[in-house]
Amino acid sequence: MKRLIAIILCLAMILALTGCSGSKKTGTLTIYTWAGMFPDEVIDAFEEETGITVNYQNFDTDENMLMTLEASKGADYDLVIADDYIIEQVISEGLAQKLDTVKISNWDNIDSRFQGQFYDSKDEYTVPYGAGIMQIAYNPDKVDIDIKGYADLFDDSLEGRVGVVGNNRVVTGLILKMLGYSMNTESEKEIREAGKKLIELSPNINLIKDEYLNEDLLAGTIDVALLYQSQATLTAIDENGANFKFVMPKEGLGFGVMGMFIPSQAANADAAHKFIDYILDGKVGASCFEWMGYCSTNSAANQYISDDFKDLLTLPANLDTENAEIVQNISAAAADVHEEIWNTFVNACK
Amino acid sequence: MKSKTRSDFKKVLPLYVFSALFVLIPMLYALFLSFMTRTNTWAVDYTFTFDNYRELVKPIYLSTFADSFKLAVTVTLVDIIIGYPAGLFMARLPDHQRNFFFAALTFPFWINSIVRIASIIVLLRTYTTILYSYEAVVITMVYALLPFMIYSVYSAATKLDQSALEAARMLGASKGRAFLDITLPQTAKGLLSGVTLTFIPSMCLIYISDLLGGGKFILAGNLIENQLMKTHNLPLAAAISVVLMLLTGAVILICNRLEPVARRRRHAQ
Repeated sequence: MKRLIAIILCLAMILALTGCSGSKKTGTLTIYTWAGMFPDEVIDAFEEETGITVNYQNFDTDENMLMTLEASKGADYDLVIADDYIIEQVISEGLAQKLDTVKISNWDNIDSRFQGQFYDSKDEYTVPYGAGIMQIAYNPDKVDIDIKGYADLFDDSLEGRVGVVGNNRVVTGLILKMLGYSMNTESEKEIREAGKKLIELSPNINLIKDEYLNEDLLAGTIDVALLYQSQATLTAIDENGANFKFVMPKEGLGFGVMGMFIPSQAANADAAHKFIDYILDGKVGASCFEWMGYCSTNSAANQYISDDFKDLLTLPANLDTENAEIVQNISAAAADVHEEIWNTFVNACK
Repeated sequence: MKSKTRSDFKKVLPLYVFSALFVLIPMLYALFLSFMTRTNTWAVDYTFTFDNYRELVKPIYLSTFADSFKLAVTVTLVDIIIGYPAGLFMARLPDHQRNFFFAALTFPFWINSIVRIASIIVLLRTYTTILYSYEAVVITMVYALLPFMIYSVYSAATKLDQSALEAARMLGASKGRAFLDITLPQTAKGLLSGVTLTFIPSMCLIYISDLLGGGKFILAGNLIENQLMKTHNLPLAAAISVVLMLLTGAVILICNRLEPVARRRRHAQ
């Protein structure tokens, strides 16, 4: 028995020790985000330049990130990168701290079109890091019509040939835009009207899939896809996708922004500021956006993005962002209606 | 005597504790949650309501349950048609051949099921046109669950009393008669446990229906996932789980009832 207690105590000590080391040590920056958000060279160069060790930790979904931050009360991590709608929740729960813009000399490089968004309207907490725009991609060799917007997806010639992402708020949201409503409407009448319109789309749908929709488009299982920016980029850089067409739909854009923020109890907020400043450098930013395949949110980076990707990864300077919208959190009642019409739509597709 | 039962109880106590902690309590919690109200954020308001069950009576949810049930029945029937003869056949093989078939059945389990399913996708895309269809979902589910049916039938069939079969044949019973009166009742237990092992997972193998059906076939499992991950409606997700548990519970109960019925057949002669 005594021996057992001794063993347990030893284990407890080891656990306690590992709990202390790591993030608390000065000179370490703990980043918490999805896997593959930075090219290794960028991290290495930052470590070399500043002497700060980067400790990169992954989450798989925004919701998991929020749960982790709630559990640690905003400690354990120095910098988090996540999606717009979840950041709204993080800020409202007091889990993020205000940025010290004095420490960020490259602040003015931020593309102002991505600032002042609903989750951080005064730009006190976040710096945008990449944006995704919903696009329509298609293979012009197999599609006879000229696709300009969402309305063209309903064309009879596309029966059983269209794939859409498996995100009900995004797909239904774009139909809402087509009907002239807001993506974030809470009016049951408008959402149900979009639901009816969705049913009309169902004969054309062959695939509803959130991940790697680009692969089915490239393989020819589908000929038209309504997909995320990153998937459009992956299609464009594939040798089979060289002549594919990419459309920013005329009815308006659905987009999302990823933001960097510093948790409220970050142990090394100083290093986090240094990292944000480093990433906001034009050249560094350009290599990050090329690596991620997301749209540049850094005006200074645009000129360094190679010509091959410029059309895909930068917003045209004259683009009308008036009609662009981000999916936001809506009331529970409206979300339930969304869920119901989406299930009805999926049922109609089979 | 008394002390003996007490020490027996001590031996199985960890099992009771484990079951209570990881099976009973979570199930009771799901039941409790299914009568609660959702809040506007992702939390739960502890106010009693029947709304979640009322929501489930909507046609869209009923038809999803019906579809899941239909798919599960189809998959189970096909698995019986292939797996039952295969299990009987394996049990009659000489040892070394039996080992070969056993290894052949076990081998795929060394590879992660997602990898196996990804390769099925590649095969279907290259050689057929049925990718992202109902057929593709059924074929893949049958493939994924077939080993469980074969194992169950096989383990019952190895205990089959061969002398009874021989006696029946010698006394003039036809092959079909001998099968119905001896083989079937003696292997009924294996067949029914095979049914349980294929039917219940096929209601919920959502990654197969998602990947092979192109996201167009929603199962009861998908409903739960969407309520949890997208709509964040925990109470409704709990209510769907409870209904699913009742459905699968009913299937297990029916299987347990059928087994003695099938066994009694031979005494009725």
